[in-house]
Amino acid sequence: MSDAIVQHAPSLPQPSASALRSSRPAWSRWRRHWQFHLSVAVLAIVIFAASFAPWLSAYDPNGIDLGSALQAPSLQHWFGTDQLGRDVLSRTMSGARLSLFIAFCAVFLAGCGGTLIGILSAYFGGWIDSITMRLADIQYALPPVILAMVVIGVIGPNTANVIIVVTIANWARFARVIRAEALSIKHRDYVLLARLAGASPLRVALRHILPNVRNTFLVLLTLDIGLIIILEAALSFLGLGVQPPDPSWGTMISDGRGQLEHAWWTSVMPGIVMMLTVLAANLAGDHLREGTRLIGEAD
Amino acid sequence: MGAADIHEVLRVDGLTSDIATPGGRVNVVDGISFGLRAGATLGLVGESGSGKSMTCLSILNLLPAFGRVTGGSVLFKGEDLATKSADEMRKIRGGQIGMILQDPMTSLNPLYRIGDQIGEVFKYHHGERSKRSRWQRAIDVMKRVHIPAPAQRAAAYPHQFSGGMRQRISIAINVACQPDLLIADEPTTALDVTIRQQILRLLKEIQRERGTAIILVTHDLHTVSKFCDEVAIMYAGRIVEQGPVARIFAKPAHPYTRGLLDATPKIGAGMARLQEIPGQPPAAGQHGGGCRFASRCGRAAALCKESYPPLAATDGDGQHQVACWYPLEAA
Amino acid sequence: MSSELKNAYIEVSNLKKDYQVRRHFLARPATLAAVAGVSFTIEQGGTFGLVGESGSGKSTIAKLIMGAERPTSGQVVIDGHRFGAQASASEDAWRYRALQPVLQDPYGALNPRMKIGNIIAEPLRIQRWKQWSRHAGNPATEGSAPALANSDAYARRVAELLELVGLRADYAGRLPNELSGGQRQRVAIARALALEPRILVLDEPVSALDVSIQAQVLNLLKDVQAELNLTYLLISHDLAVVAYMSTQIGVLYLGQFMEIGSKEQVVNRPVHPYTQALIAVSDPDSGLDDDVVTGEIPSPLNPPSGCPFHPRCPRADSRCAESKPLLRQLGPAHWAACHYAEAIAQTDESTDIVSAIAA
Repeated sequence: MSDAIVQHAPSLPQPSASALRSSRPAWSRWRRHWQFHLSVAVLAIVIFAASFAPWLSAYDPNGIDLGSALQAPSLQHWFGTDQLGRDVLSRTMSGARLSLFIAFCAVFLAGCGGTLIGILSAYFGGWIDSITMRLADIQYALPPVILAMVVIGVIGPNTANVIIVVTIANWARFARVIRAEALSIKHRDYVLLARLAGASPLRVALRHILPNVRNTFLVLLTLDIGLIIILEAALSFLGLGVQPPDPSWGTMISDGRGQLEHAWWTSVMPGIVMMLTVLAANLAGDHLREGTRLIGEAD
Repeated sequence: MGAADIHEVLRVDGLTSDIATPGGRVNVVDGISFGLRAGATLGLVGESGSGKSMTCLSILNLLPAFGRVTGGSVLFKGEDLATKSADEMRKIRGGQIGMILQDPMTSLNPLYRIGDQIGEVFKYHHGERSKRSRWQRAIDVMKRVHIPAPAQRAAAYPHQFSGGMRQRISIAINVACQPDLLIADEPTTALDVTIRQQILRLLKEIQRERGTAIILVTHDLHTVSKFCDEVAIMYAGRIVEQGPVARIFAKPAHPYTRGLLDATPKIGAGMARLQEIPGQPPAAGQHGGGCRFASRCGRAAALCKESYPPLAATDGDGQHQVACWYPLEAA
Repeated sequence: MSSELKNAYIEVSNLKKDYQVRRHFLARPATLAAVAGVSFTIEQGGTFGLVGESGSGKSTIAKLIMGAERPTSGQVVIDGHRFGAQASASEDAWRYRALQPVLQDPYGALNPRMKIGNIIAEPLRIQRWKQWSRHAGNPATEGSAPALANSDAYARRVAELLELVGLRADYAGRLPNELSGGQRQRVAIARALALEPRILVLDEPVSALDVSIQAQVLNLLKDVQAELNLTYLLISHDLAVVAYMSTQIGVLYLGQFMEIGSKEQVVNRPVHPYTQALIAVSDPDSGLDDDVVTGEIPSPLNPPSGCPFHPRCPRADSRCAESKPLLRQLGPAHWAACHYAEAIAQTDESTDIVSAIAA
């Protein structure tokens, strides 16, 4: 117990949060954060294309046309065609639908679940905390792909099961980080004051802890999306995920393995799109993290 | 503190610095001028946003990355510090100018023993190669700052000392090189009241021994009245009053100085109500033209809001200066 | 210690708080006696100031009284309600409404994601204030709700509280990061007053504020106390602040009282050497010698034998090292824990301020 005197507010003038948010003209904010805006634009394009794939595709993603098999990228087929004559661009867009759907569901479930566990763990401590953190340790210890193989082996490969597996393989990261944040929030004065006004633990968790972990949660979501897209692709690549003929990025990359020397576009095109998406998601997440950190410090 | 004095260790003239914020560059130190003789102590008094810490950092060329000295000169022993290269400044800092900060915990490296940290000074500034010799000199310096059992304590780590002891160690590191100027930024604010006294006395003792000039940055007027010879009151980046401590505390000329004195609780004052200064100090750069204290001043008139009063002498010998259009009359 | 004061509104008896600490992971836990048995009373409408340095236990006492921690032993009786080592949900529920804290750090006291209006209204919402408030004209028991929509009643109460602490009503829509330290502290005071408490525990309420703002907040606290007839427990390391605000003062050192008395008594005629030392260093005009206290404050883990102050005391002798002086009554409402208290008091009977320490 320290009776130490709190220092005066720092004498270095700090920019206020409102100054950060609003004071510069829009174009200079754009220039300063061009990476962020570019990544968001890329993500927006990918998500748009994925959502409206059926209407945007010039060809049927599953439409077999052996006559035009293995054509290099051209004006008719921007990404070329695969060994069954299917248009790679259309398949990539369809694949995006499925891959992104699975990824968003999984990251959302893992995020909400992990956050809930993290907050409960931090607030109650004791054996609840010990058990959940040991479970998290177990999750960390098992390589996600092996874990997935085992689970899918038992419950069978289909889209819903992939979401379940990916969620199970990723909640611990959220739980740990949110738990750490919640622990530091728990010791803030405003939490003590709420308790001393008679607030129930539920109220404290919902009203005080949850809103203050929101920024961290959003940043983690964005940073994780990339990892989860890759995980899903890996599972589909191994045949444990999405089953043919439904296209997903992972299955497309896998299917194209046989043609890599002479028809590289069948694997590489979906690979490039996936890489750009993951990169954009990571950049956006990084910027969100920096932005929320600065706003958090100005408090 | 009028014209330049050949005995002056430090003469600051029109020092101006600004820092970058998302809203643009903001002036935090605005035309600060003062002189400091050897063996004298100057108190730099101000509240948050007054620029007192930034002034010290500007003198030492230690502004953070987003800060920059934009004008004025700093003459240390007759030489302009602005003309020094980074290497030369590094030699001067620590070698001839010491800086003591508020939080002794963060100015000491938790991983090294105290004897090594003090000894490092001798290695860097005196080229002392022998480890044993450095260690011995470190113990000598610890004796000088009255750290008990210095031979044993030299082998201890910072976290094994109390706040007051750590501040002594910080002083020891600073005086090891026998500097001519010591800048102490709120050195006792984080310490208990009975320890503060000891640290300030230690600084005075060192000053008497070596004729060191000291700049003492503080917000505590009691400390200033006890330990400083001269005082400069800062507000919103400028000095509003400066001069000998006894004169200013007895007859403050600037309403802000008067306000600070009245707002400080005094033990023997009975139940007389504290006089408040309404409003709050402006954030950096957020003041209009005209006198920066005008919005909080009970005596403000139209002239005060239009133009900024220059520093002018209030007494015959020009030592007591105030920046006010309507300074308080001598009581 | 029996209470001498007529209306002992708050009575603290033999309060103790121990912490088990370990120097490092493998060490055996040692007992840190943060509060080593304190007793005092606070009269209704008064301000009791607890003053001390690091390790004095003043913040711990504050935490025990406000209910943030439970004592190891001893009890606090507030208006007939008992609070001891055993938790009691019903008593705690009463305490939330009767006693509220104002804490030191204005930057940590407000949830950065909540608007000011919601921060102030939160205690009202938690306690479903509309059901029992005196404010609606009903007695302070489970009464009927005011005949108004909930949000209207809350909004009006928030506006009223903002005005009480000197902030404009439009502050209710702002976020904490738009406010300065002094303004935040005012919001903290407004929130503390929301439930119409009768007691405020003020733990270093102005230490983190600039001098010119300190005066504003201290005066605000005084005005609010007079207007609402509140009782204050004020904790501070700054004797001048305590002297300004308090009717009674208790001087703490290493978890025990060195001296307790009325403000006039303690400030003008202190008898304990530690009190004298505090006055000497806090007040340049005291006439007391400020160079007499040497050495560091001992760690509460390893308190000195006998009188805790003896290693640093200019008057200490072998008796002080051997036996611990108990808190003894020296006059009506004046206690001191020093073997030589009477001697010190007598030598200075003629003067108001104790003169420099002689043999």
